[in-house]
Amino acid sequence: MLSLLILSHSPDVAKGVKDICLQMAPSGVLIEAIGGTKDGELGIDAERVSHCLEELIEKSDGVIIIGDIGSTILAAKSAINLLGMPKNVKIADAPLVEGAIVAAVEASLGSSLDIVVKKAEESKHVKKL
Amino acid sequence: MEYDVKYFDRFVRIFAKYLTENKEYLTQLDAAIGDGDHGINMDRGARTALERLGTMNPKTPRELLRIVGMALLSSVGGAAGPLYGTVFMKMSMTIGNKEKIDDKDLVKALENALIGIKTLGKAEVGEKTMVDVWEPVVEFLKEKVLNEENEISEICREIIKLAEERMKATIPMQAKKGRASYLGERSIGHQDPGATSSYLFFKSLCEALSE
Repeated sequence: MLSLLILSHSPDVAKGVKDICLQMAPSGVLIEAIGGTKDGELGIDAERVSHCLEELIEKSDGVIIIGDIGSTILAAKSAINLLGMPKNVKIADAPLVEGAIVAAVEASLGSSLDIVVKKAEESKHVKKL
Repeated sequence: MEYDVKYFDRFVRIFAKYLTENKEYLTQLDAAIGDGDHGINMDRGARTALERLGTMNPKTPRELLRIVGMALLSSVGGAAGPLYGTVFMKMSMTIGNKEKIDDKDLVKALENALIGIKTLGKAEVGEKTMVDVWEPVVEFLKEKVLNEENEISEICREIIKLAEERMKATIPMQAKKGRASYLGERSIGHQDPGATSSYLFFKSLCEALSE
């Protein structure tokens, strides 16, 4: 089973995106979401990201990370560096909400990590109108 | 000159003092072109680092720098957390098991820190980021210390002056990385907060020599 790690500057956004993903993919994928600083302000707690990533690597066969802007991606990259560049962790270059939903569904269907990342990244080209 | 755990402890305390003193200033700079939290974030990071140093009482430079790096990663919140966290972690890794290092080792540690920042943030010189201070200062140190075999203590004034010049040189730049890049041309005319805290970093590194 794969896992999905959702990162946002906002605790509310992180939780909200996780809720939508769980509705679409209630089983078959492990979903965690982290948002905000230690004090609950807007931002990201990179140490928490690192600890959570370490746990997900242990509990699943691969981790796909999707973040919102700037520092969530830096937090994810530094966590990956800290953990010695594990091979089964990928950051998807995808919009947070759409990418996370696609990733959750695709992962719950049993696709490989590379396919899940590819599908999530394709979500940035989806036309809404 | 030899740099031991006491030197790095002095350095971190001076850097922390500057970050706390400049909390409002850094926040104002960031409010103009970013999300207005750099001063608050760095002050929180500085206080967390000092708290952890107080309770964990590190015995080696490697240990001390690692504790500071993890403290910044966990508490800073913005992009500066992973970036400055990486600075201290890379320095810690470069120094390794040595109890004391020399000028050349310190320059190599700073060079690896710069590589870490650039790998993480993908920024180059001229994009209005901390790299605009870090890269010229590290290049200057490599030339003066690695090639010409000067000691850092002999060139401190030049290092601080260069860092200050490069910090001010970010004012006319248009941001290409980070939150400020969303502003496009409106980011021109403001000094970059990350370049400013980087100036304080090198100023602290030099001032810790003379205490």
